[in-house]
Parts: sequence; structure tokens; C-alpha cells
Amino acid sequence: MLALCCAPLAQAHHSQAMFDNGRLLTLNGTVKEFQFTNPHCYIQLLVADADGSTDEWSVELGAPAHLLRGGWKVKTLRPGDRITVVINPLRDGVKGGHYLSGTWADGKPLGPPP
Amino acid sequence: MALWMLAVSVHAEHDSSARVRAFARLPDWSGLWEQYSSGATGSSDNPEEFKASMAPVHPPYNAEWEAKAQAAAKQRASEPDKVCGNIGFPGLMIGSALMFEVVITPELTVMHFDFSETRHIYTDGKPLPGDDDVFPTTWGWSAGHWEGQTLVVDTIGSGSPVTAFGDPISNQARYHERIRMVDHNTLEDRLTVNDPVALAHPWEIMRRYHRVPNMTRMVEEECGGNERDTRGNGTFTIAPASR
Repeated sequence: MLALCCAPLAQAHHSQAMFDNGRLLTLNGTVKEFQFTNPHCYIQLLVADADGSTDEWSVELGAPAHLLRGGWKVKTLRPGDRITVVINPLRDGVKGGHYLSGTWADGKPLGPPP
Repeated sequence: MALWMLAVSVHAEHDSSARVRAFARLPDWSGLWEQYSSGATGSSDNPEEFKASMAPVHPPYNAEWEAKAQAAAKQRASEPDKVCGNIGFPGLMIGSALMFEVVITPELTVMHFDFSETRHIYTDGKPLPGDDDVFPTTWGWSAGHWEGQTLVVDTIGSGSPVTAFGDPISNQARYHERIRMVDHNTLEDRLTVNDPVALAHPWEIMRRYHRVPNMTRMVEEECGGNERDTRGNGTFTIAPASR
């Protein structure tokens, strides 16, 4: 029996194989850019490294239609916002991953305004 | 036929009051509909709701096609190549994160899904095309009729997987649906899949769709625009943001 594991992404178009679904990574950072675009939205997140340098991570979210359904807006995130996100990272080691959840600096969930 | 009789006949067909009555008999399914809620992940954000909305999800395959389905699932798990494609029918109805709108006229019901996927269900009396005129397409060939406020649809010739997960089905499958509005916020599709090639017995599925919160306009998804999923490092990855 095939396992009911994962909700099909809207795209059906999108294989999940590029992300490591067995790993969770938490990133604390500052928003550099919030791309509200098809086929995916992206958070470009600046994350401080252990040695003090800054890395830019590409966090991939769903398409705008899905974020809008979830109560997000085009300008929910702005450059300079400090957030924490949880992702499934890319398998190839490139600094990026698939968005699973996120919070503001005060711990409130990202997305629709309270 | 005398010319005057023909003229009256033509006029009657375009009689606006008859046309209004034909529309008035039809239900109002306007609005945006979804099978399960979605959000920033691009898929279901509520595992319990997703599970409830998707059961049953596994087709009752015969032994030969169960093996095919397992092999296809294994391949999909390791296949990074599939980006940006259609879901098609019946996956759109059985289990999909896409939202849709329904436009109803006396001759045609159009179900438009937000990835530019569209079902055309003809209700003008024309039959399904014969074997010589059918080839497999993503959404199949549909014909329907109204029984009161319930749309009864038959579809053949779909070349798409039977679910949005990608489970296979033969293109000989025949689909029968009864679609109705349960209450103002709920649409229901009772679908029967008949496929003697792939299934051990007919597969009966009931799916419900609810109004989409937070939105009043259709917003399309599309493959183009800012597609950053790209082949690199021997697999798919995310390309850097353009500067």
C-alpha cells in the first residue's frame, strides 16, 4: 500500500527529490529580499555564520496563489525583517531549502496578520 | 418549410426570456474553491485536514498494476527532474492543492484551476466522441447533463495519472461523476473510476471542496516568471537570486 506521506505540491510539477525531506534546518536571519513570484516565492535570508561572516540562503516557498490563500500578502516580509525559518535543505549542499514554517523575532508565526 | 416558419423558429431559439429561464434553472457555484487549505509551503499546512480530505487515496489496483504503481512511486522518490507540469483529470478532482472556479452556462460548464488547467464539460446534448475520434489528453473528454442541481459527468480519454501523486491508470479508464453543492460553502464530487485494465474493481471516491478564505479573485500559478529550480551539481538546485 502506498503511504499517504506528503501532500502533493500544487505544482505536481515539482519533485521534492531536490530537498532532503529527512532533515530539518533552522535558520535565524535578516530578510534581504522577499520575492513574490511565480512559480515560487523566495525569501533571500542573510544568516550569520559561526565565523562572523554572512551567508545568503534561498528559501523556496509555494506560489503566490498559495501564500495568498494562507493569508500572506505581497509585502508580508520586507528587507531588514528579522525572522527564523525551518526548512528542508537542498541535497546538493547549496545554501537553500524548502520552507516549512517561520516565526518573527517575537515568536509569532509568519503569515497572516494577527 | 415556409420561410416565415423558419424565421419564427430561429427567433424562438434566440428568445431572451427562454435563455434567461435556461440560466435560472442552473445552480450558482461562483467563487473560489479548494479541497484543502494551503499556504506558504505550497501545499497543505494542516496534516489532519489533508488526511481527512484525501481518504481513500490508493487506487484498488489489480496485482499487475499494483506492481507498476509501486515501481512508479520508487522512481518518483528519486527523480529530481520533474518540474512544472500539469496535474490533469482526475487528479485535479481527487487530490490537488489547486483552487478552482466554476462557470456554468446551459451548454457548457467550465472548471478552471489556478495552474491554467481547465475542464470543459459539455451539457448541450452532444455525446462523447467515438473511439476513432478520441486520443488521450491531459483533461480527457467530458460530456454531462443536469439532474436538477446535480451535474452528472462522464469522461473518457484521459492520459493523466489517476492521482496528483502520479499513480498510473490506463487510458481506457472511464469516469462518472455527480457534482453538487451540499451547502453554500461546500461542493461535492462523487466519482467512480472504471478501469478493467488496471483496477480490480471500480473505485468510488467522494471529495468535498470548500470556499477559499482570504481571496476573492483567481490568481494564477505558472511555470514562467522567476523559475529558479535549475539543474546543477548533477541534480536540481535553486539558482542564485538575480541581481
